[in-house]
Amino acid sequence: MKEGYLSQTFCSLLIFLLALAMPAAAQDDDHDHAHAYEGDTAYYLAGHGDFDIGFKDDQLELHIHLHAGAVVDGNSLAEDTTFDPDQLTVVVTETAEIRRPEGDLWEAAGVDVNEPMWVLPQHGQEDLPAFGLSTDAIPPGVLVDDLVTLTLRHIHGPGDFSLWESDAFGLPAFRLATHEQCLSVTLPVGQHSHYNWGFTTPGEYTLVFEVTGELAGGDYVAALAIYTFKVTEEPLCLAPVPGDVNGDGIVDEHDLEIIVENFGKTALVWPADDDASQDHHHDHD
Amino acid sequence: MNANGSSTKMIVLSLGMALTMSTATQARCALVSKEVTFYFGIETPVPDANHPITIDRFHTDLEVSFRATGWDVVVSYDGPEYGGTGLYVPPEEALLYGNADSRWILSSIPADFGFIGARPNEPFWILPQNAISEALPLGVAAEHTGGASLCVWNPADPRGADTLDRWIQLQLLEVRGPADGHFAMWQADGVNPPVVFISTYDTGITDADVYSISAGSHVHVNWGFTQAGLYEVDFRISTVVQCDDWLNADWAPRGDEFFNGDCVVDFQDFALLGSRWLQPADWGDPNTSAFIDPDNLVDLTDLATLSDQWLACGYPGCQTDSSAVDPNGVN
Repeated sequence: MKEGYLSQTFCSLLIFLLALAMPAAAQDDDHDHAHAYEGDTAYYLAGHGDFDIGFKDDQLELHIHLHAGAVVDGNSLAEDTTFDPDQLTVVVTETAEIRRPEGDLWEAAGVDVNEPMWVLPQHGQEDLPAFGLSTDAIPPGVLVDDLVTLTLRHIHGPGDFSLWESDAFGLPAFRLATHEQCLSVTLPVGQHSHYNWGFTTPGEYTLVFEVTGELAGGDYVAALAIYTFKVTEEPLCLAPVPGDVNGDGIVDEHDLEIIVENFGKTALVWPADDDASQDHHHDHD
Repeated sequence: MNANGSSTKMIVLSLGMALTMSTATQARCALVSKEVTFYFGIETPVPDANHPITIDRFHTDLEVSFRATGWDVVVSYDGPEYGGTGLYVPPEEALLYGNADSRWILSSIPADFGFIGARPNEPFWILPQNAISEALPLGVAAEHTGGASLCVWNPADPRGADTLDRWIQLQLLEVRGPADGHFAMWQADGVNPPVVFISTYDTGITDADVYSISAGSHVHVNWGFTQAGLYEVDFRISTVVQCDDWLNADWAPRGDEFFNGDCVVDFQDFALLGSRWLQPADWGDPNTSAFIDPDNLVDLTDLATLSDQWLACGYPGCQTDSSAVDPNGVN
């Protein structure tokens, strides 16, 4: 707990120093991100996005399509924005932690019952990416049987990765699971679904995905891309966002609420006869 | 050092005042709503002449949007025949179809799922929260709602809507369907108990049968039915909008905490004016006194303003919504 607090303090200090060091440049970059993204790797922090499998110029292609309102580097996107997969790191913060439920169906997750794992949930969660998987952009009739295959070609990370859907009763239907070497799933085109994205250990995961399909004429098409997920138990040090009072990387009504509720308050008040107060006062001197 | 401290204090004070003012400005908000009926055909004959577009199998959303022109509620269907563009269908034309893949028969109903009203060894139907089967995966989307025109508020609903946000609510009003047919709406993740938003089986239809979605988001839920047949499901879709600034004679609050005006100039405003007649405008209520003209007295000038704006309404789309000028308020 203390360690976490110190880390948060250090993080805040670093943010403050960064803000002093590069205010103008950072603001310009942030402004550009909100429209046509052409910058370096950014952090996808919250809101609706899709692992987008598309088809253009007779080729399959992979993108990440973030919807307006999704939060990237602390900024809420003003409009839908498409990223190349290697331009974006999907962030899985500590609020994504769950304990693995009982039941054999959960074995594929790669952790024991009641052990922690980190999940971007299918139903979305306010402070996490709601990451779907979409084949909407593949027209019908282009691929044989209107099917496309998604294969996890490589994973580099500290633990296992799995992708599953929860059915109406919450039971998992795993589509990908490195723990069981289940590395390929066939998807119908024209679909958009939400999944649970699970990781068994904090750290950075590099996932190399390939999509393949057979064209109606008999040729095969494929696309390959690298996706990065950062599973972190510590507060993420984001680019500075003025006004982000609660440090969640987003300036919103929650920050306003904190300011209004605490407006006019002063710092800690220590009893005059308390030894600790003297130490505290001394520290400030 | 002192000068710096003083400057800082002034900046903080200004910020505080600005925040207070912006909060007060936002406070003139009103609930606006629209009643919509969705039609669910659970293994009914199709096509249905009354609801000719059968929505089946592929990703679909009930899209509830509040735009610059007012409410826009459609069924958004992503069938592959429409490519990446989708098909937008008026609710009355769409039959949300429960096919055979949505039918379940269980020897025992899981302990936490009694709210569905299903019975062991008898069929019931679920339009699921995912696309695992070929049953229709049906979601709710509020992604095309302009956030700027909505007010921030907290529905205080522990079922995922207990924060300040721009919310849209779907309140269940009535279900007309087959005898002994129950309707439910929930989410399940297998980690936590199911989150039940609507269940007509538990306690009938109550105020608690409501689903809240934040503007800009998109979610998937389960829709349960315990009998085959046609269900007509009435929802009141509502949100809290910021009243137009020009409607300054709309003084009267409606009583709910986020109402300070109802975006309609009507008898309530007239009554309030009458109760303050010839009194100083500043009677201690910043939400109403702010709308009085600058002479600081409630008098004929204010009555003239009210008369000019009589029965006018001030939120997107209300001029085309006859109920918006109902003297009883907005919907």
